[in-house]
Amino acid sequence: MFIGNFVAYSDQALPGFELLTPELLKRTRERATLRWADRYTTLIVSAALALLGDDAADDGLALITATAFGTHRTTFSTLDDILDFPEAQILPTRFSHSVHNAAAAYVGAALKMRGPAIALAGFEQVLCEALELAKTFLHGGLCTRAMVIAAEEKALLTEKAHELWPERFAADMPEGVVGFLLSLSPQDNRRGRLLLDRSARVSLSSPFTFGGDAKLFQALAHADATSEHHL
Amino acid sequence: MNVCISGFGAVSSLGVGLEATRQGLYAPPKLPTLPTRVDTSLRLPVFEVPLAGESGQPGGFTNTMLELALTEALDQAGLTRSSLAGRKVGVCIGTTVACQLNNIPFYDDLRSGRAASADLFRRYVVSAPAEWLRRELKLDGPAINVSNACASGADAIGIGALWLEQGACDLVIAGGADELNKVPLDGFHALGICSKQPCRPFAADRDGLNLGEGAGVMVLERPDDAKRRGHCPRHTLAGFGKAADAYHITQPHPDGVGLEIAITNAFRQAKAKPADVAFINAHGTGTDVNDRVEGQTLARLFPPNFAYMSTKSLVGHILGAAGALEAIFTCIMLEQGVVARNHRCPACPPDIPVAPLSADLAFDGDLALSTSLAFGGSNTALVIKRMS
Repeated sequence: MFIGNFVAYSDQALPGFELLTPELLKRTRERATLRWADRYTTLIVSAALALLGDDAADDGLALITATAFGTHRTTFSTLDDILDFPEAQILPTRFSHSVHNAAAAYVGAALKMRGPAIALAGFEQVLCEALELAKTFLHGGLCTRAMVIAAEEKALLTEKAHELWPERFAADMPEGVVGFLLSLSPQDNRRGRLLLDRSARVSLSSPFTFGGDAKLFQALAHADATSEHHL
Repeated sequence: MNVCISGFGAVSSLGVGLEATRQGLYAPPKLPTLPTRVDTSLRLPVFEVPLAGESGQPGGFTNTMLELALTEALDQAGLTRSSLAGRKVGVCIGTTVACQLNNIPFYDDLRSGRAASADLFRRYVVSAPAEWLRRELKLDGPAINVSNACASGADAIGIGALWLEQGACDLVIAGGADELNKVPLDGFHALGICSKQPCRPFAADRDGLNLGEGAGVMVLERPDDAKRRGHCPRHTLAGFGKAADAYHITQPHPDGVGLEIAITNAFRQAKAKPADVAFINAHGTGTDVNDRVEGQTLARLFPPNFAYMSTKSLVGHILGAAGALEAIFTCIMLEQGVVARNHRCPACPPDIPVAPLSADLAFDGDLALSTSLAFGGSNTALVIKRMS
């Protein structure tokens, strides 16, 4: 697969990542008219807008989102409603935004995308699975370009994850989003070739629960069309 | 697309296993009842699976149902769990509830600064269905949880078929699982789309859905691989179409734009045309908007008097498992040569040009379509073929 574009934002100063600022999220909300959308969705839409830039979406563009904890801030807001309000009076908007694929719906509406959109959730290298799925979609002819966007928001659960399972989750996990625009066409190549090999994937290290590889993220930030990346 | 459905297993309110499912599809419908496992003050009828279990526990009832469906699917495919270990087997499971930590007592402790259960949190992390199955069965292949709301189960089956066609694995366990849970029950009620009566898909007086629960699992293989081990599957997945509406977070596009693209793409893959299908197992939730958009879109794409129905009048809306179970119901109806009626819709509704089936219908064809429409404007179409 060829990488047409790569974006990465984090609230921490990580190699290869741009700083995730309130201004960036505000710009996204204005540009995509995200009046009701939550922070997780705003992260995903920010990456989607940056990936496409001035390009237009077409029916051949697919979207795959990946996350571990997903929209847990909104899910917990729904639980707040259930705990604090009469059961019959919880807020419908919070509930509808707590589903994992709400973000994909907003990307679709913002970019007028009618291609396949899939939301993945998991704790075992879900970003790598999403990239593999993009490859499957591209080779299977379901799309001609695929956006893969992985995001994790910072909220109560991610903040407490280390306390609840210190061996598995780091303290002070970053908030962030990474996005890939992928294609099989050499004409779309801007950041090099991405070669996926599940069997060779042994020692990946990522600061994010959605997985991936910190070295790859760093390399992609400065990569050109001649680069070759392995994952 | 030509991927064998080598076996399948089902758990729903119709019963545990294919025989109970087969009988339930054609029997007088069981009516939904008030939930017994969900602590709720809302008096909303639901379709419960006739098994003991506890709602809201990560890795609990959802995975119990999933395991039962998997065992049956493997058995029907002539496979054992031990025969899969170490093989390049992919697992793709659709779910909604199992991907979210929505255990209310856990969260209440967390937000109040009390000691929240670390054990429950750990079970949540390790219980995401596809990853859990990969670990349990010691498989060596891709494992993904599709959380695409109500299209998740159908998407999982389509993705599994694509994996096989692209050589990503040699066998796929695909399907969906979801349990009844207080959060979606309250949420769908808040959205105003739950009926207080047994749901009436496509009926003029439809007023909402009933939630259900269950699991459906398919074992998928390439035809040559099935043949090589002497297995004769009875169905193939001939087409998978997937498209987005680009319209609204909860409502489908009023013209069914994404659904039309999904159906068209599925037929293109199947090298078939709408006139070729014997029947359509529609998404048909019983909500005003879904059924109008879906019914009008199907009427636009299919020949006059096409046969369609929704099984949600029998089992309710099983969210992340709905598309998978409905694909399995479609296989059963293809096998029986009889499509089950759409219950509680006695006449053609004024806003849909063609009425759903009001009586069971015997047919000769070998091709059927199953559609799924989801929150987020996510549409999926599966074309399933009965093998001669």
